[in-house]
Amino acid sequence: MSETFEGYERQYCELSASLSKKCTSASLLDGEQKKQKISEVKAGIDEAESLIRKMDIEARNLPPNVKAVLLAKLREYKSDLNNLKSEIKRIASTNLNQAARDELLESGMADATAVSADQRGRLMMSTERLNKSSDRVRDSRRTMLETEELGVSLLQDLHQQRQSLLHAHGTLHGVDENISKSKNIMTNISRRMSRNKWIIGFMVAILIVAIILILYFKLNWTEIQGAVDTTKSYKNAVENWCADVICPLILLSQKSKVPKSVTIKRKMHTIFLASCWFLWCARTKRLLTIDQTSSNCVENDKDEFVYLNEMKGETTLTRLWILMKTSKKETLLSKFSLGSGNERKTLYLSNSYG
Amino acid sequence: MSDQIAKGLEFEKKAEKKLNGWGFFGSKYEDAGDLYEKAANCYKLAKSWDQAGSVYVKLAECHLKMDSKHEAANAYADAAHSYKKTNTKECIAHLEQALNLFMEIGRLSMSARYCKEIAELYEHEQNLEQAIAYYDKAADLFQGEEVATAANQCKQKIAQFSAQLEQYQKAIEIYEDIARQSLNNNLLKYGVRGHLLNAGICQLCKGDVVAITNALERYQELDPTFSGTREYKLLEDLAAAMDEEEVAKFTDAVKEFDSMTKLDEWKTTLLLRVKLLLKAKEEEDDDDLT
Repeated sequence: MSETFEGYERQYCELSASLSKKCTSASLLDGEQKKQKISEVKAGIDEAESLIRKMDIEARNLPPNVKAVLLAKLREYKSDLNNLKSEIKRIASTNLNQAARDELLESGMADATAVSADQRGRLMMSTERLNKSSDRVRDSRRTMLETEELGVSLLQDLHQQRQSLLHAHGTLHGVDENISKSKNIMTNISRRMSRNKWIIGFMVAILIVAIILILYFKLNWTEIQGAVDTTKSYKNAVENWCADVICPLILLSQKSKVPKSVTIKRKMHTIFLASCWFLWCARTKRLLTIDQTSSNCVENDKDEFVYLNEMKGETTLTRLWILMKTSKKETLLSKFSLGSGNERKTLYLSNSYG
Repeated sequence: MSDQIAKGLEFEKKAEKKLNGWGFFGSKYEDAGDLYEKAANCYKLAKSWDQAGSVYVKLAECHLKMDSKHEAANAYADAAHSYKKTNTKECIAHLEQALNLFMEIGRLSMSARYCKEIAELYEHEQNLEQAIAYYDKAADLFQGEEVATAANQCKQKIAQFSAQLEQYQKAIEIYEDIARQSLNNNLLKYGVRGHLLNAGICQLCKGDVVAITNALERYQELDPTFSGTREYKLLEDLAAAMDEEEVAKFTDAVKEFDSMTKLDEWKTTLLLRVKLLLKAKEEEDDDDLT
């Protein structure tokens, strides 16, 4: 059995060698010959593939100990064949491109080759080509000039923008300075504000304290002042029961208006004033009594008596004189005292005759 | 969008009420101003430009009463933009007011920008003389603010228009000046050729051949590379044609230049004038000869 296998193996080796040779030669060649070679190589590859298949079947039929060795060899041959296939494919692909290009350009070449025989035609063709190229050059020059113009306008725009940016930069510096200045001003304002607030608060406090003090003192003084005024007004009055009555009443009424904290002082004042009045009244009463007694003395003499009616403003001296005229008693002079004359009430001297 | 219009009307009425009534002093105008602004926005959304413009004008008046000139100027500018779409005259009037206010405040750059806008509007209307006047003003203001590029642009326009109006000397001076200034600048030096070409064409229009040759020499001095350029070649040919009074030569030179770079409208007009001048001269000479 292995003989068939070996036979197949030998065939395959020969075939692969020839195929590889053909491959290398095909890559070197071009055009139709290349195509021929490639087709040959492809046929060879197909043959090799069938050989390998046969070898495979043979190898499987053999006993296992030889099988393994043969299978290994088979694998080698398969990989070899694959390499060949890929190489052929590569060559074929490049060949295809080449073939297509050749076909495409074949027509032009054909024309060129057709006309090239004619001299004049050739010259005309060359001049035409020259014209075309010069046209193209001119067009390119035109585009270049347009681009240059565009570039110039762009540069102008850039210049303008640069200027405006610089201007803005300068303005921003100015703004920066102004902001710092305004910050200073704001701090000044706030300081002044707080200072003013403190001053005003202080003045308000002072004023409140002043008002309180004034009220306090004013109320104390009014109480004292009130009492002094009343005594002055009534000192000049004639002894008067009404005055006696009215004055204490006034004092009492005043007392009621005053707050409790001052009542002690008030009481002292009232007591003082009351005592003044009583003394004054007492003095006036004594005078009265003295006059009454003098009239009695005159009665006892039984001399001539003069009626004395209400005498306002007459001093006791004048009365004395009258009395002296009527009576001869000189001893009465010593008992009389002077007093103020204004607003005295009537002294009645009874007429001894009457 | 009728609802926008309704909203706008509402805001406007509220603002007017505020103005007529006696709000407490100080906030009256500000509130009215805010309401006016909202009204104007609504009108803009509703695309009724006239109403928006009128409201902006009222807003500007409010701001003027509040003595905030900057805001007033901005409002006038907005009004002008609204009117741009419909009525150009009003637009220009308002832009002028805005311009004056900005000049009073001292923002010369903004006033220059608006001046340029006015000039552009006039240009659009083909009122070239007014356009020149305003471009001149704008160029001066820009020069004052040291924004040389914008000033140069304005001057270019001036030169263009003055050449169209046949004030060639002015145009020549301006172009030469610009060319001289641009030489030093790395960015602008590639544009010098264009300026010199324009100046040369204006020289041709003047019709004085000697002056042209002198000018060409001068330009040569200014820019050493100028002689190698196509522009120079063109100018040379045209000068020669003028000298010899050959219209055909002139046309040839122009055609050659045109094949490379298309001549723009302005150049074509001027060159046409030169050609007619040349033709007239030729005919004159022919008459003299005959």
